[in-house]
Amino acid sequence: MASRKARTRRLDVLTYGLLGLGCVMALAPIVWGLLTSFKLESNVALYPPQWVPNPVTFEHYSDLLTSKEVLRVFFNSLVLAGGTILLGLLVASPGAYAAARFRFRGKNAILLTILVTSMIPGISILIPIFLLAIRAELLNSYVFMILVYGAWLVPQAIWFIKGFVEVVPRELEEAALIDGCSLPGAFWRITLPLIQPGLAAVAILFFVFVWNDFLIGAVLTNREEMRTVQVGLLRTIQDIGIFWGQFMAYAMLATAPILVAFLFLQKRFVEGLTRGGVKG
Amino acid sequence: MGLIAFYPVYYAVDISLYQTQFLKKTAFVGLAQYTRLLTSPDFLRALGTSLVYALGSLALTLPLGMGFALLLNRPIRFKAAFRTILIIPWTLSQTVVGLLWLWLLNPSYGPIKYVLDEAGFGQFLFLSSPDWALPILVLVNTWMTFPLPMILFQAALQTVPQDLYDSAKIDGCTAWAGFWRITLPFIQNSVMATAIMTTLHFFNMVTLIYVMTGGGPLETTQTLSVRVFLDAFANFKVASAAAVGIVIFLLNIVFSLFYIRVLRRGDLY
Repeated sequence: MASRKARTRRLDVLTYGLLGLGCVMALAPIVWGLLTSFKLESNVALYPPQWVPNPVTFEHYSDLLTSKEVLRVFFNSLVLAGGTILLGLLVASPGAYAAARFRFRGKNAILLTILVTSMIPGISILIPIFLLAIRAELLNSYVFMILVYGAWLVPQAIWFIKGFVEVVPRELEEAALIDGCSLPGAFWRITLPLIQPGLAAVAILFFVFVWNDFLIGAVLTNREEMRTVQVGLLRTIQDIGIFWGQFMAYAMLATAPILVAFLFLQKRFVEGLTRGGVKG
Repeated sequence: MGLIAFYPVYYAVDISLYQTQFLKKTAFVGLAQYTRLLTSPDFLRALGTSLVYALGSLALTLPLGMGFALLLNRPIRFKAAFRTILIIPWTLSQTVVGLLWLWLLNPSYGPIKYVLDEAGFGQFLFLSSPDWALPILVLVNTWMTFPLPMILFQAALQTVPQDLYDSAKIDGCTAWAGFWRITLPFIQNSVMATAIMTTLHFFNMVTLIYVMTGGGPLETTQTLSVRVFLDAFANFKVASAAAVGIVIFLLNIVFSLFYIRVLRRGDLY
């Protein structure tokens, strides 16, 4: 028995050791970026590298946060993410409700089609979307971009929310109907509040997708003031050259909203990943 | 819905059948675009690069994800904290990850160069080396993607009934054998689905590679998807880009059909 205990002990040590190592590996590149963002530009390009910023400077952050262009870029991404969440939930939740509750002809075929659309590779249809935008003069348009993001994400959201609707007891809605509630009323008052965790998870996934997207933003905008965060981040390099201190500060600012959302809403986030992930 | 999603696909196929000049169709050329592609060494090389990138990343992310999922499934303290930290790389955008690693791998001032120097390695070109650029990209991709399989596998592992292990232990089964004979067969559907999903993701990835190498050096990191992006939006060779896009789409369909079969075979959730 003693040897068994010793083995468990060894296994525990190994587990903590490997997990600790994993965490260090996961954080090290981010920490290095963070440290760089607090260095004077003249101390960034030193060899051997300066490990701890000395002196610590906040100038990169204050420069960025007072720059009109940068603020505009963050505002753009916020509008796009907000718009996509709104549109996505508006389309996907009734869609998911119908998919979960109603029986109609060709339902399975439609659901499968929706699933398949979410597997169309983004890069393949970006060209036609781009040409379409040019022809219809829809480049640099919030509305068009939100539609594209929405079209991208809604299929998965329908499958995802459907799973949540299916576990709401049908009897609750029926009781509301008997009490004189209309069908949309029952959906609005009974079902929606009960599937709120699912909606929250979808909203977070939408936010992460839109905020972190580079491709769609890069292709559908060509005016500087319409750039999204990720596009702005990369184009700054191409526009003004490489200043690593400033870039790392920009990269940290671009990451902060996602990280905050993730840390506070982790449970929903992981839920979104596990369920949404598997369904496509 | 379906119409909105499928119209661009039709349009892409349509464009790929024409000759184009600056975004305008000029002449119908049928499948000439495709025959030219399939016989062009560039295209075949990009196809090979895509396969190496996707399958190489797969071969690293899945075992790594599974390893951490198994560790996280042991009865340990601070489980939530470990998991939170391990997921963080996945929440970063490909743009940010690309820039972070470009800076880490900086051949003049980067900390990794410093460590290699101290360890006595000679000159190392990092991403400028045609031999190393692709393997480095695969590693960076692994760094940012492994949390996804980790979370999915961890969720799947929790569905494995404990008594299966208990009875196996009585029969004298080791932990290693238990993993291969009990755990893996029990969650195989989830593993398959995750494998296919991540493979598709890797095939379609553009941003990370575009940011870190732009397809170079000497086009050694130019996957099909990067090529589509560069051809369409930098070189304005729209028709050939569209044709490559369709090839990627077909590859995706092959994988997806496989995926749907896996989904149908077993109830995942």
